[in-house]
Amino acid sequence: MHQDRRRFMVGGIATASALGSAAAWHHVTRPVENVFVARNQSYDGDLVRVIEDGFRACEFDLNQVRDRRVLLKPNLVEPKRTSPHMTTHPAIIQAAAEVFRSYGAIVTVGEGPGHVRDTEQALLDSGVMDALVNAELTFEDLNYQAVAEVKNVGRACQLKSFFFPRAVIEADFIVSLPKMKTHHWMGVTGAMKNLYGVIPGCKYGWPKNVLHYNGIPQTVFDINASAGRLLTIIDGIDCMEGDGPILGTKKHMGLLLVSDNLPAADATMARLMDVVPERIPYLALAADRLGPISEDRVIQRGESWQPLVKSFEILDRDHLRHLRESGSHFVS
Amino acid sequence: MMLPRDWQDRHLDVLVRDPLVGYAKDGPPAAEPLAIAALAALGHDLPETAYAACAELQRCQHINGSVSVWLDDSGPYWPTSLACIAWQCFKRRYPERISASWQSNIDRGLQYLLSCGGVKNPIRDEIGHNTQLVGWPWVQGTHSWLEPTAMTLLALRHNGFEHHPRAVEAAHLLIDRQVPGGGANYGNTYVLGQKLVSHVMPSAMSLVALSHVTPRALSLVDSMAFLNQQCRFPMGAVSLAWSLHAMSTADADPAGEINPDNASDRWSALLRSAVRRMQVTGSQPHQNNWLLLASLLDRSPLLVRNEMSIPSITSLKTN
Repeated sequence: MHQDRRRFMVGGIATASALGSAAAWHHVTRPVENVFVARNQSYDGDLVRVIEDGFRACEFDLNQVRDRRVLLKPNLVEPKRTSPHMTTHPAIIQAAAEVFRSYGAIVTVGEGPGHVRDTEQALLDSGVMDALVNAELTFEDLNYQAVAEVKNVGRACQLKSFFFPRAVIEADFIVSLPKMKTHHWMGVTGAMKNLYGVIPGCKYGWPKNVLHYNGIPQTVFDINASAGRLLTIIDGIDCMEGDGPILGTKKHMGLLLVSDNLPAADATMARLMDVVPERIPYLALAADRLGPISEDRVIQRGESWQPLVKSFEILDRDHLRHLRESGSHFVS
Repeated sequence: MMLPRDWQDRHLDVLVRDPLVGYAKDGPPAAEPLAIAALAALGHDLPETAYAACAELQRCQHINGSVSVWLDDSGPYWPTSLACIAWQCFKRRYPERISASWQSNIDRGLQYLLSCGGVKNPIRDEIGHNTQLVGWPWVQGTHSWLEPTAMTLLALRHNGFEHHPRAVEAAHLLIDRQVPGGGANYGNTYVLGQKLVSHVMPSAMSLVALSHVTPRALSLVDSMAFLNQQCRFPMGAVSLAWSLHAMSTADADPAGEINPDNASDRWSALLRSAVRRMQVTGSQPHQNNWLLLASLLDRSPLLVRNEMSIPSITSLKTN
């Protein structure tokens, strides 16, 4: 679809699929979804093979991406040189790009950092700038790109529409590349919450306070419902526990999760962190609307999650204490 | 010469050819890049170019005085502050060139800004900053944050409103939002008992907005030290530009202890490093214009030079 980029902003409201690519995608909840978990992973390992194996195990045919636009969306919310465990590791981005490129996709990387207005600074501090240069990847600054208004399909919050950046609208597939982390308001943050970064800061602010005022769980749900077709690769190698998503401490898990269903992937991620997924507000909203989250409806591919569980420390706060069955691993 | 001469000449040519820039090379024009283009052109004695950018901002100004991010009617309108700075700087520099309605554009812009404010949030133990100070939000109907407040305070000071109660309150807000130990972020200090991390750009913005403000808050001394420390690491072009502005203010060296030659060499090295990086990664006109503006150091039209005194916080009447 050709777009004159200087005239990208359009009047009226459409759905993302109608505005963007030829691939009209509707979220249809299937009875079960697949989530692939790989253990013993490292950033210098063969991540390309693991990601490819993951999609294959999830019965996602990578040939679908041929000649399609794939937007890789890492989490660079507020990068800091001394906290690499806060942001998606550059190796994950490079490996994901290599996988999709090898199947003939047109791959770009895009992010709208939530707390940092100078996106170039975020790329420098996260180490992603070097990865982009080395892999000859194009970066789309989602905070400042031209926007189009897209209908809020979810309608869990009061917003009737979202302004999505051009790269988000034009993408045939958006691949959420989150970091596996705790979140001091929501409990955990993963594939779904990472899509806050497709919302342009120039329209919603730094932080994207409009979303907060409309409810974090509701807007997470609505953004996921309104964006195009979604996939995820979760960086669960060096993770964050405690006061995430910014100030927490590093926790090594050595895991990589792959799925073509974000709620199912996030539910598995929560279980691996010893958190009850049904108690995460945005997952509860998404359950059976955007994907299954109950254990009996998420088919685990690769490793079983049960032997891999490690309790992530969670802040000992009233709004978080109910997230775990046991009363352990809470920190002040 | 702070920037490599060939780079500067090339990008000044680009600015003259197309002052109606956006954030991205192939993107639509936007209000903030237009205002920065106008200021860069003003600083480099390019009145026609500056006029063109200012005029485009005026053309897109709404009846109520606001200027939208994307120059349309969908908002938000935080760049109104930057438009008011650009218009005022042009008027001050080239009074003979302005149209009859020029001051009206400024007045309406300022009126709009003064009609807006951040939402006061309830005072909660979990949040470290004073949530009752109004300041300015990114988007009407939400809380005040550091950067829009800094930009609007600058606009008010450029236009002689430094004694307005909202300006005074904004100064207090920026001081309140400095993170203990130095620097600032988007506008939180403590959340759930944890001190948050400082970042370069908001730190520099608050220092620029609070230059020549007396009495000098001690926290700003720490923030200047934070900024100096951060200059040892690679900086994005826009962060660097704000930082150079902050370090070009008299407040950066109140005792006159810094050797101007050493400072000049250091800033030149930072600018050249940013240029080298952008030659690899690909630069955008908006970033280039920021560097052109920053290379002027204390001659940059963005800087305010008037003194502003603020009463103690205890005597401040919040709106």
